[in-house]
Amino acid sequence: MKTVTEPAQIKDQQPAAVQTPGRGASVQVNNVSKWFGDVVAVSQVSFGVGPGVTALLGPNGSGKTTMLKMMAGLTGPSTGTITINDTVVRMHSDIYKSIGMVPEQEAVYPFLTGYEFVRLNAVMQNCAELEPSIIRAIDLVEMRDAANRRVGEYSKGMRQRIKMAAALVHDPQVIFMDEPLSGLDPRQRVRTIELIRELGNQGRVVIVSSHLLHEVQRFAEQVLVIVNGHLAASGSFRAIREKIDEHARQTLISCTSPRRMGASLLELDLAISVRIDPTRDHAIVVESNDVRELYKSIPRVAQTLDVRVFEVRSLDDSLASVFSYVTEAVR
Amino acid sequence: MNSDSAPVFWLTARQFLEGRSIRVVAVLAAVPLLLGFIEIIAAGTDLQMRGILGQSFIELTIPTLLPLIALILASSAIGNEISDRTLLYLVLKPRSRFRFINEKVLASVVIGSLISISLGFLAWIILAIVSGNFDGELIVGIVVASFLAILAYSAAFTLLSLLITRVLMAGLLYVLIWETLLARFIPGLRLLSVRHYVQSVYAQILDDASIGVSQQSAVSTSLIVLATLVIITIVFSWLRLQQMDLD
Repeated sequence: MKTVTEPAQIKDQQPAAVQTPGRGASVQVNNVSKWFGDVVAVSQVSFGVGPGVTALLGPNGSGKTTMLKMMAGLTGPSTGTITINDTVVRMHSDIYKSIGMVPEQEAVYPFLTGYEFVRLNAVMQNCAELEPSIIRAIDLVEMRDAANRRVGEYSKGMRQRIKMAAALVHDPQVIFMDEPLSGLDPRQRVRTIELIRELGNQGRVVIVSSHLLHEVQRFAEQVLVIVNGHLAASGSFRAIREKIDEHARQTLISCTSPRRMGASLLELDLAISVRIDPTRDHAIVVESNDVRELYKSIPRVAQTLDVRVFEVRSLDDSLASVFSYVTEAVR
Repeated sequence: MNSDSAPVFWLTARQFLEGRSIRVVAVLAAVPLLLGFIEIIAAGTDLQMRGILGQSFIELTIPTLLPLIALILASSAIGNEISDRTLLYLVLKPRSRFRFINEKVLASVVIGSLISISLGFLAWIILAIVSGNFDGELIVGIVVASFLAILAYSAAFTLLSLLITRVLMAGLLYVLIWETLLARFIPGLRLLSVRHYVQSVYAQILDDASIGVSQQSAVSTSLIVLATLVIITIVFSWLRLQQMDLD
């Protein structure tokens, strides 16, 4: 199932404005920019999204939440247009019959029970069959046992799930989720990932924002990468992942004898370059094409050299740095 | 009106009743009752209903207590939802935002009026029993003026909540400086204050020169001005909510 309609390939170093939004997509973003005073949050972004799960990826502060809010009509774009099924989202409240949104923030009316909160949403969505819709939504997120407890007594994960039930109670065709796995325990994560995939497989447009790459690969077929307010890349997750993996990754190693450690890693072809970290004592920055192998070998090399290792840390953990490989032109 | 036909009204009313602000509102609304007790202790059965309850309503309740009650309710009805971001659960719905504003204002008016009128009535009945003077005009004046003041201020403060973030501070300054001081002591400003029109209606219901409201506006004029204020602020609140960015 094709999700991101156009372009369906990585747009390495391609200006976002030249994209052509896809045809027949349910969500269309056309040349959208958003600025707050002098700060540009989103700059000339265009894309089209169709049925299936699409991840909106980007580091914190990259503009993905602003993008999601603009798509949901919570925030108006400074320029450009956003349409859902050919209807401009902003100022058209009827469009919300087909939209469900799971916001990132935790706040939910603490005095309502989970059931009452979902019911409130069902009533406001004018659900035809109120009770069956509420029960179905609560069951979908496995909250039946806790439905009669006040939301104020819920854990973060439970609040996240009841928000999801509220967003799904009217059976929307377009679903926006902002960091939906945040606060969930491992079991709930697995269930929520299954649910997100299920919603996508049912032919709904599901757009999920996340800053965690490893999380996204478990449910999204397509990704839109937003870095510094620009659409840096879009296409299938696999293609983007491969592009990222092609690049060397940097690892900081702090140990009692960094020079010997660095020399040994070079000798063993585990590193393509090594440099002393000028900001720290006894630390080197190792550039490697095979990080997994490097990490496995460090203890063995340290033992052989009788070197004590204090710290091993990836310098590419943040999406900002990872995606800088594929988005250099944007930055 | 059940919870399904006006969900925002019921949610907001419940929000008030479960929150802390309702206690502050109750304390403010109980001030006339407290003054009544002090008068009973001081004057015994010789107390004058209009002297204590009637006058304190003009001097304190209309210009200060009622706007503060409306401010607390209206600011928590929308202002709190904007700051904790729960507002988006209500606006991302296929419902008119005009209706949303109306239900919000209505919740402030109903809860604010119920509390202030019931405590005002309690003060009146206690003083009436003690003094033996069941002053019907006085209680009608209190009920009508309380409702009008809460209605006008709630609509105005709802708009203020949508325009600025520090609504409590701004509203407090408005009540204490504009309504309580400037509009009271600078004659030219009285026509620009809600208190003047509410006091005019109240004074004319009581039809008592000793009540001390000079230069009253006609009841019809006062009602038209107050109704216009309510309509304009509700329409502006709706327009503002339509256009504002919700973070």
